[in-house]
Amino acid sequence: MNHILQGDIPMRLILVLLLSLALVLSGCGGQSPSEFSRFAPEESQRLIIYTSHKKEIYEPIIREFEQRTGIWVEIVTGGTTELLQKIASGDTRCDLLFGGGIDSLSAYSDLFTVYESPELENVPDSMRGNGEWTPFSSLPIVLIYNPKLVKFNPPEGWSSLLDPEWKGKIAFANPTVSGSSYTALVTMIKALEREPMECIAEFYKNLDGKVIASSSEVIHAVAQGEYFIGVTLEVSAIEGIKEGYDIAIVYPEEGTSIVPDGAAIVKNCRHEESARRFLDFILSTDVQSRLYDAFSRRPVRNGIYIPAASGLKSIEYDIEWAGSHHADILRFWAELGRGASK
Amino acid sequence: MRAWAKRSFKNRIFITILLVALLPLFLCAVLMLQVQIKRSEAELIQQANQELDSLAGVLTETLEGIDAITHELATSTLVRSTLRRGGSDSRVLYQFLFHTTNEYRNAAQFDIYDSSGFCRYTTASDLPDKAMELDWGIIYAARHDEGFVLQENGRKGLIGARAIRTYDGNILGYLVVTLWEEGIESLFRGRYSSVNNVILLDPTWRAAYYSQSAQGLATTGALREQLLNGEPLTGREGEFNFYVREFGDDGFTLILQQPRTFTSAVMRSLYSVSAITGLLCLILCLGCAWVLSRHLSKPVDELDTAMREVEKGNYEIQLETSRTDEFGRLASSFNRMTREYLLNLESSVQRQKELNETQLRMMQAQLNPHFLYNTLDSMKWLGVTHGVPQVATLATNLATILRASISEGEFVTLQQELELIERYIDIQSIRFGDRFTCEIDIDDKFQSCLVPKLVLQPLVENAIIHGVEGRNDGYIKIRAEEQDGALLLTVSDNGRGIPEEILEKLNSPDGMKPSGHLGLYNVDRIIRLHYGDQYGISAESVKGEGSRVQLRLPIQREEKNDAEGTYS
Repeated sequence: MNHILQGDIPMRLILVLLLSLALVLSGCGGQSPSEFSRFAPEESQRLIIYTSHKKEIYEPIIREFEQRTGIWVEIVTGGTTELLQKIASGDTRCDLLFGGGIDSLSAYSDLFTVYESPELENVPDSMRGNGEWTPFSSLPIVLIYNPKLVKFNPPEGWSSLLDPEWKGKIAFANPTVSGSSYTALVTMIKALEREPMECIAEFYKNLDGKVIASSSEVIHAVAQGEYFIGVTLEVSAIEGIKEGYDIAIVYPEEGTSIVPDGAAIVKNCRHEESARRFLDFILSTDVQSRLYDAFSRRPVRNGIYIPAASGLKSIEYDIEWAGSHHADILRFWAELGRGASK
Repeated sequence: MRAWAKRSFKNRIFITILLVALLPLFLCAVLMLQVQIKRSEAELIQQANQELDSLAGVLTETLEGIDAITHELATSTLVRSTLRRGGSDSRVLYQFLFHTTNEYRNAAQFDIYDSSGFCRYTTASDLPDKAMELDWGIIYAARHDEGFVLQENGRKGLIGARAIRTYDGNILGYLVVTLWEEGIESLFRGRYSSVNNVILLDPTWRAAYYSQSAQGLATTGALREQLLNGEPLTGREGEFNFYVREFGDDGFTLILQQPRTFTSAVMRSLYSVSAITGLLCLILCLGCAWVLSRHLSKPVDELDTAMREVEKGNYEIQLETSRTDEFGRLASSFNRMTREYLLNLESSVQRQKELNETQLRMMQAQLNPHFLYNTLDSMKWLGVTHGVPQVATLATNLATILRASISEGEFVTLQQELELIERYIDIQSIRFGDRFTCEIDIDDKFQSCLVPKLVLQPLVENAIIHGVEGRNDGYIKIRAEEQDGALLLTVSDNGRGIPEEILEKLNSPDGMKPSGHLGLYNVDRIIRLHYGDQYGISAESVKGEGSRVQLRLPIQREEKNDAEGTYS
């Protein structure tokens, strides 16, 4: 026993000294987080928004929301599908998803909780949905053309897309990538009242195998003269014109679908009250009246004055039908692509 | 490590020296470094707080002043009536506006807007053409507030507004105050160190102003995220300390960004300098500790090795040392000890060898004693049956002497020895007739003394041969006395004496081997081997008058064992 102690004492001594040294060294950290935590807001004054909007849209709206309510908003940006999948895979941070077509939001309606904003009574029934999402702005699908290349007989409507006159001259984004392209495809089928697969096959043939990779390139491709006409959202077209692209807009004579984009509160989120206040805010007159001037978007709220668009005719867009045929149509589209490459 | 330390005390000394030398040094260095860092940090914190006090002070003062002025303007009858009339070019109002805002026009721009958002009067050089949005931003805030409201102005400073109302609360217009970046900069100038940066944040920590515009936006974004995530405020990149100060009632916040003196690069170099110094000390210490522990342990190691050699039986090992300290003395003691041990061992072996030789010689002298004994027995009975009693007596006595000489045990009592002497004298009496007489004069107290077996007989034989031969009145006396604790046995005769040269040899202390007188020599050797050189034989003689031979023995008495005790 005695000799064990003798052997142990230097070791213990070393250990004690090393420990005290470690304590001395660890004393040189920075300021403690608690020093600053008193500046941090309460949970009730916080909101975490995932958004697929562009900064030019979300920033002024969120800044105004913060200044009016004092709520601290944290923003996470990304593509609609990316953000939806993130939430679906169990991301619990997100309180509210801001942006994305309501067809995308409807596809993931399980993730969202129902909220009927009192402001919805000023929104037309066709835009309301059943509470899992709240509309923000309405986005008609339009045709565009390059006025330098097309002078006398501009495209008139969906039927023009099947017209052999435009074969190989149509800029159309790949619907397997672009949500708005898929919407356009469904709208065309509905507007022309054609058998779906037949219509798609014919349209594909008229594209002459040329499909644009993403929707953001359509405007550019038409303005640069690579294509004569194109299919895109009205907002993209107006913004393109504002940016100086030389394109003209055609509202299809058969009518077009006006699918709103929206926002939705995630189920069991931590800041649901703040999220509701944000939904009320984006439906308020103050925001809705700015949509067209500031963001080239059509408001969903009634009674907001915007310049009349000649020829804009709405046809009903069947979200349910679009959702249930989504996989079939895209598979068929992919098969057409493979067949064409052979 | 522990096993290594246990194996030798040298290693323990080594470790101890290392610890004692290095640890205080190490601790001292670390503590000094820490104290230095803490002091410097405390100074930096104090400096930062002073700067923040000054910055917040001037900003609060300015905003309070502007608040007061806007109140004065918004409630003045001149402003109200002018706005109600709708004119936009009133000289009087301009005079009033410039006069009132004189103190703050360096820092701020004052505008008066009408109720539909058009600017009517401004302290800037040109009237802005564009109308303010009424349902957005600062005008919205002003309309929904009774007093002066303040907002960040799109990261370009601050914008404040106050609604101008009629007495019954209808909006007549808005008083808008813009503090551009330059204005704020002129307020802050000289109130903070040039290495620091100032950030002005609105209540939700959106940047209103930053003194270093290059990284301001990224830094504020990072700070806001860190605050919301409950992390320490470290900014985006670079190593800074951040000091936060809320001021005023609007929830605006000032942040001072201060570069760290002890950045990780500085700390790294500090620590590496310390580490290199420490390493040098370690090497020095290692060397010294090693030499010292070796110096201490080397002699002990040598002694340890030598001891192990001795244990193995090598007594000739000697330690070489030139040291004069305790270790030197220890080594020479060791050397002396092994030397003496070796000598003792040698003499002991020698003695044993000699004893063995002597006994062997005596055994050789005892020629076949059993045969003699049996023969003597036969002679005795022959003498008895043939009526020759002298033969019987001779044979009996001779047999007794013979038995005693071949019996076991080297020591007998003096009494037993004297009995044998009597027998011997009986024999010699028959041989020599009455030509000599023998007297034994021994006190009873000596009877029990132990003497080596047959030590007296050679003396008596010698006396008879040399003393009685050729005479008819031979006289032999055997005496015993005690002198200085030793027993003296003396055999004296009145014969012709012992020749000179033999006498000399007998008395020589070495006891040289004499050519004749083997019996006397053997007696001497046996006594000396048993008892040591101070005992032995001595003789004196006068030629023609007689001789005296004396044995000197230690007084030893038979030990009474239990059995003898029972029968006596």
